[in-house]
This record gives sequence, C-alpha cells and structure tokens, in this order.
Amino acid sequence: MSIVVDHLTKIYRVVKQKSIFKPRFEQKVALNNISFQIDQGESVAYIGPNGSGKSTTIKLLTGLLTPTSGKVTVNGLEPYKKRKENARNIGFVFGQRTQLWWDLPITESFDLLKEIYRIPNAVYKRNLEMLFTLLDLQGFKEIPVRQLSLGQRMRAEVACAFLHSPRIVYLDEPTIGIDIVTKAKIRDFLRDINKEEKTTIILTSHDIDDIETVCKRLILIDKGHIVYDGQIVDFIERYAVYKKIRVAFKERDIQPILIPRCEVSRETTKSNELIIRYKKDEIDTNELLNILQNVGTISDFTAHDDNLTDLLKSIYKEEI
Amino acid sequence: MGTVRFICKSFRMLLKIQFIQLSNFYFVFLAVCFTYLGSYTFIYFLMKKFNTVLDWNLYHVTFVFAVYQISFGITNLIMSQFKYFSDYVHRGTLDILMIRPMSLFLQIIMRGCEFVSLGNIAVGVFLVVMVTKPLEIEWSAIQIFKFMLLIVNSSLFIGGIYLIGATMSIYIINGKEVRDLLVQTLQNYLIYPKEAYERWIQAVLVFSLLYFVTNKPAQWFLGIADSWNAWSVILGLPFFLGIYGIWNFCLKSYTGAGN
Amino acid sequence: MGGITYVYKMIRISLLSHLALRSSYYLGLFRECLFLLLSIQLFRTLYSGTGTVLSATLTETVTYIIISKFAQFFNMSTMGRIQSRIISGEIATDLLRPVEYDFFMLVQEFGAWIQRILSITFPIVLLSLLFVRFYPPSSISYGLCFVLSLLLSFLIMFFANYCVSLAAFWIPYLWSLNSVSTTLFIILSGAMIPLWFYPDGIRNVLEWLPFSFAVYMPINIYLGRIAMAELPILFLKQAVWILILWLISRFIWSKATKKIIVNGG
Repeated sequence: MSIVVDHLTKIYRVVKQKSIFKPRFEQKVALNNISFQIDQGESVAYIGPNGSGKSTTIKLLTGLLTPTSGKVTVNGLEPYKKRKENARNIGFVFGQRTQLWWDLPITESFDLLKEIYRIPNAVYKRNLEMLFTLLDLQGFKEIPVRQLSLGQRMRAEVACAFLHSPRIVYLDEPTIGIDIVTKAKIRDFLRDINKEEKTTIILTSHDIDDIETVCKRLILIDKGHIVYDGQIVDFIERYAVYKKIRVAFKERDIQPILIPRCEVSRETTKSNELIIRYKKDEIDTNELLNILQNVGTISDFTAHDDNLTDLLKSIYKEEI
Repeated sequence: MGTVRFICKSFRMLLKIQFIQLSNFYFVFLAVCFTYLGSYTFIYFLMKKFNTVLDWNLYHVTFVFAVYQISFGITNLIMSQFKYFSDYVHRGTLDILMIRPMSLFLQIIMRGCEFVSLGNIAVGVFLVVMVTKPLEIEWSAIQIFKFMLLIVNSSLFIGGIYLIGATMSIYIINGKEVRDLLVQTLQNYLIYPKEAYERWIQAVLVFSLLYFVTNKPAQWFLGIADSWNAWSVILGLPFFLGIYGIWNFCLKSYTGAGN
Repeated sequence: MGGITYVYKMIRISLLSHLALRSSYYLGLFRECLFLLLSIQLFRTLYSGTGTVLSATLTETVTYIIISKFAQFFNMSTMGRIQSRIISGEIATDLLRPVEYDFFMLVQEFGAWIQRILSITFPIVLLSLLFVRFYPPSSISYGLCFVLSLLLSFLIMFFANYCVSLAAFWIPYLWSLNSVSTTLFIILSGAMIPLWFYPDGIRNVLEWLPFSFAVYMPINIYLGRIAMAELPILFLKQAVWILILWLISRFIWSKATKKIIVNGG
C-alpha cells in the first residue's frame, strides 16, 4: 500500500488579462516532472517555500486536481479518477479550513462522520475512546465548535482525520497559530499513531519542530522541482556544513566585526553577544577564538552545527 | 444504508440547531408570511379591479401563485445551501466536501435547511384553500395525486434553477442574481396566461421552459389547458437531471483543471 | 496553503468583484427593463379586457409605472450600514454627535439616490421613450412641482427608513425587520401599482399616511391629475410628515442613547 508519483507535471492556466471577450492566459508550471514513492507507515515532511507546489501536490494526491501529465497512484487507485473510493482510506487536516460542523459540539460531528465513512460500530467506539484520551477532548466535548479555542478545535480536527482508521493522513499546517502545549499534544499523537497503527503521515508545516518530532523523511520541493528526498538525519548531516557559535562578552555593547569567510551578526536581544556562522572546514576554531579575544573579554561560548531550521532558512533564502 | 442514516442524523441536527434559536425562527417565519402575502396583495387588488386577464379570473391567478409558493417553499427548504454556492467554491469548503466518500450534492443539501420557507408553504396552502370553493376543486384521491405531481414538478424545476445559479457561481459572481431574476419573473409575471404578453415574449417563455414550471401544469390541473396536457407535468424531472449533469460537469472541469 | 497561490486567488477574486459590479449593474438594468416590459404588456391586456371605466387610462398607468422608477426609495444602503453599526456596538461613538449623524447619513443617501436615478432610471426612461407611448409632464409647472415633490418624498422615505433602522436597537432580527418594513412601505406608497387600483376605502386611509405622499402623490402631480390650487397644501402636508418623522427619529434616537448608556454598549 503506497503512494506512487510518477513523472507528475501540473500546469495551470492563469488569467493574465481580465476581459470577457479576449482573456489572455499564461502558463504557470506548478509541478515539473516530479517523482517519488511513499510506503505504508512512513512519516514524511513535505515542505517548501510558498508557491513551491506543495498544495498542488496535496490536491493531486487527494484527487482534487488532475495531472497535466504523469501519474499518481494511491493504494493502487488514481485518486482523481476514483475520488470517493480513495477518500475512504484517507484523512486530512487543512489548517485554515474546518471539517467540523460549526454550530454543533464535536461529538455530533464525529457522529456524522461515522455515517459518511461508514465506520463499523466497534471500530468507531474504540477509535473514539483512543482519540478522546490521546488528544484530551473530554473537557470540551459538549461545547459548540464555534465557541472553541483554536487549540481545542485543532485537536478535534486531528481526531476527525483519524476517526475512520485511514491508511494515509494529510496534514496541511495543522499547528499554525496554536499554543505550545497543544502543539506538543498533537505532535506526540501523530508520532505515536504513526508508530502504532502504521498510518502514513504526510505533513506540510512551516514549524520545524513539528517536522523533527513527527517525521523521519523529508521531501523538499521548490518551484515545482524536488530538491531533496531522503531521511531527515541524512539531510542534516549532508548539508550541515556550517557551524554556528555564540559568543558572549563581558563588555556591554559589542560591535560586530568583519571576519573573512564568516557571517557575523549581533544577537538582537543582547547587545553583548555575537553570532558567527562559517563553513566547518574553512575556518580553524582556534584562529577564530584568537580574533574574538581581541574584540573583548569572552564570558560565555557555545557552538553547534546548523540545525534543520538554519538549513532550511538558507535554502529558502537562496531561492527567494 | 449509511447514506440514509447520514441523512436522518443530519436532519435531526439541523432541527436541533433551529430549535436553539426558536424565537428567531418565529420572527422570520412570520416575516416571510407577511412579505409574500404582501406580494399577493398587488395581484389581489389588480384582479379585483379588472376582474379578468383574458379568460382567467382572480382565483385562477391566485391558484398559480399559490402553487408556486408551495413549490418554491419546498425547494428552498431543501436546496437552500445552493444559494451560497459561491462561498463554497471561493472559501475552499468545496475541497473538504469533495475529499469525503459521499455525494457532494447530498452533503451540501444536508448542511442547512431553511426551515423558514415553511412560511412560503403556509401562504401557498392558505391561498389554495381559499380558492378551492370558487374554482370548484374537489379533493378526491386522484385530484390529490395530481396536485402532488404538480408540486413535485414545479419544485424540481425550481431546484434546477437553483443549480443554474450555482453553476454560474463557479465562473462568475452573479449566479445569485440570475437565479433571483428567474425566480421573481416566475412569481410576478408567470402567474397570468401567457397570451397576456406579446408573441415574442410568449415564445421566449415557452422555449426557456419557464412557462412549464408552474403555469402550464397548473392549467392542466385546473382543466383549463387547451393543448399538451398531461405531459407538461413531467418536464420537471428531466430538466432537473439535465441541469444536475451540467453542474456536475462544470464542477469536475473547474476543479480538475485547477483554478 | 501556498502563499503565492493564495495571492493569485485573492487577485482573481478582487478582479472578479470589480467585473461583478459592472455585470451586476447590467444585469440589474436588464431586470428592470424586462419587468417594465412585462408589466406594460400585462396592463395592456388587463385594460383591453375590461369594459368598466377606470379612474385612469392605460397610458396614465404606463406613465405611472415608468415614472415611479424615479422614486427608488427602498433598500437604502445607508440603513444597512447603520444597522450593522448598531449590532456591532460601534454606533456608540456616533452618539457624541447625534445631529450631525443623521444629516451625514442623509447626504450620503441623497447621493446614492441621485446615482441610482442617473444609472438606472434615466436609461430606462430613455429606452421607454423609444418603444413605449407615455406622457411627458402635464405642463412645465407641473413638471417642476413634480421635482419639488419628489425631493420632499425622498426626505419622507429617508426618515421613515431611518426610524426603522434605528429599531435595530430593540429588534436584532434585521432580515425580518427590513423585509416587513420594506414590503409595508412598498404596498402603502403605491410603488408597485398605482393607488388608484386599490379599493376605495383603503386608498382613503392611505392618503392620510405619509407613504402615499412618497410615490403616489408626486406622480399624480406629474400627470396633472391634481388641480394646481391644491398643490401648496399637499406640499405642506409633505413637509409636516417630514417633520413628524424627523421628530420620531430624534425620539427613538434619544431612547436608544439612554439604552446604550444604561447597558454600556
């Protein structure tokens, strides 16, 4: 059971000139000949800068769009041809849009979804119990959705996605605007359910912690091309050529100095700290320390390799 | 079976929501009754003054108006969410509904019923009762069956008009206004014999099928139709199915191609 | 979901909105013309079928219907704005300057009315000139009196609508409130069909209410159905109604003010 994307291309016609009589269209290539395969039970982060083709891919995978060329197969079905059949086995959370019925408490939404997905009674009861416990829904189950906080609502949305024991779940920005506690609950839930039930998880998020907690694999897409497809740990190891050190000085106001082959900046909130970023194999740390000792008296010093956030920031920056 | 249970559960929940705002419902229900009875007063005054339009009198005209009100009430009760189809398309709700293993059409219907349309039905039934004696309508079993056929036919036609509005909403923003135009034309002008208008207007009314929504079928029921009698009542279903097919097709090509 | 796609969508929607406003306008114009056409034909049929003598001729009726398009006093947009401010509570800031507030709204609504006349009424009247036989003003002086009367009508209907929209302080059921009041105004003013088609008893009563002064009376002046000598009194009556409705609106406003101060908005 897997997702197979084979030489997928999607081209939009965008209206360039608005006119009833002679509208002019422009081609916009959203996806350019991408291919990848995701097996059952994988947890994949599918990320990229805005406009990279992320949402287009999700829509193609869920059957909302048809490819211009190439093929998408999900569990043997082509989703745009057999959308309803495919829909039985997938769950989704679209961050900005809600699946829940606005005027009713979440229990009613679940009840309706039971019929929509034809969930057998035993499965429904068991899943409901599990979801209520793991996502902590008990406290607000009688309140109409319209009165819930964003964090409460999101937990309920996630529950909706998993209610029918789908094989694959797509999550698009599920934690945007949510408090830290709820974020942690959702992340832990996703990670656990992926481990226990072997549900395939495809996560799109701008929150790096989401990705690092939940996903093992990373597919990076930019301008319609796949830039990286592999395990997150490999990604960090391969691209983390940069090292970052943070130096705190005794002196109050330190001016950032120019160091060749280094990125030097001052910590925005502390005027006595400098952050220096450089390629590991280009600079000798000792030499650097000598230079820094001329700047002032070093009171504290930490060093670490670029983490995922830094890496992605630099990659995004290059493209935009 | 799951579909049936879904319909029942959804309906129960819609009722529940309506009950929470019961006073609001009563207010709007009364306002609906008042507004549409208000529209009727113009017809009443005119017919009282002029007595006949060609060979129709006040009671014939009232009957057509009443049948339309009942049919409109039923259609609006069921398909009211299609009036807001433009929102569904442009706010992305459509995506969510489409990635569910259930008919989109059914899901949209079950998202909301405008129960206040019972006001339209009430006005229509009231007027039908008032004209029963003057028109000498005998409510035998057959007559009741014919009347049901009449109502169902009109409701299907009006449902088709709602779908036309919805389909247009996909491409332009004015679907709602087109629908309003058609609905108001039916309500205000198609309650008189078509011969009241000039030939070319008559042709338009006939070819656009608007004439067959309520006017012609009502004539058939009252026994005053001169030609093409019974089959005028069955046009509603093919019309509705045809428009439904078009709506489906436009939706597929819209989402499939990408906006 | 995809920032640029979102931006594309927003641009498309705003472009469509602008286009929609234009097509909305054309559709509205088409609708007015269609309904006018159908109404005229309907009246022709009605008149041809009746042997009785009616209080007005066919041409007078047709003229009435066309000229009544000048009296587009219903569905005033400023009323919607007032009501939404009442519901949201923002109206509290407007309390500081009650006098200027209704004047400010008046000016805005007047502008909107003139715009409606220019964009809808005039095209319809011009089109009618080509295809339909109807009367010009009975004389120049009648024509001028018609214009004066129409201006007074505007004021009457403005304050009447204003009172209704202020009722939103107590009746939050906006749709019901507006629908019922609009229907009532249209029936009582003769905006749909001339009051001379109403039963005599009802018409007599209506001539005592302000609404008949909004549409029925001005058009009667236009048609010259009222003796010149009576006009000053009618203008006076219009003015009195404006005053009465204005006072009522001030009264409601002061009651509303008390309500807000007591409840804190």
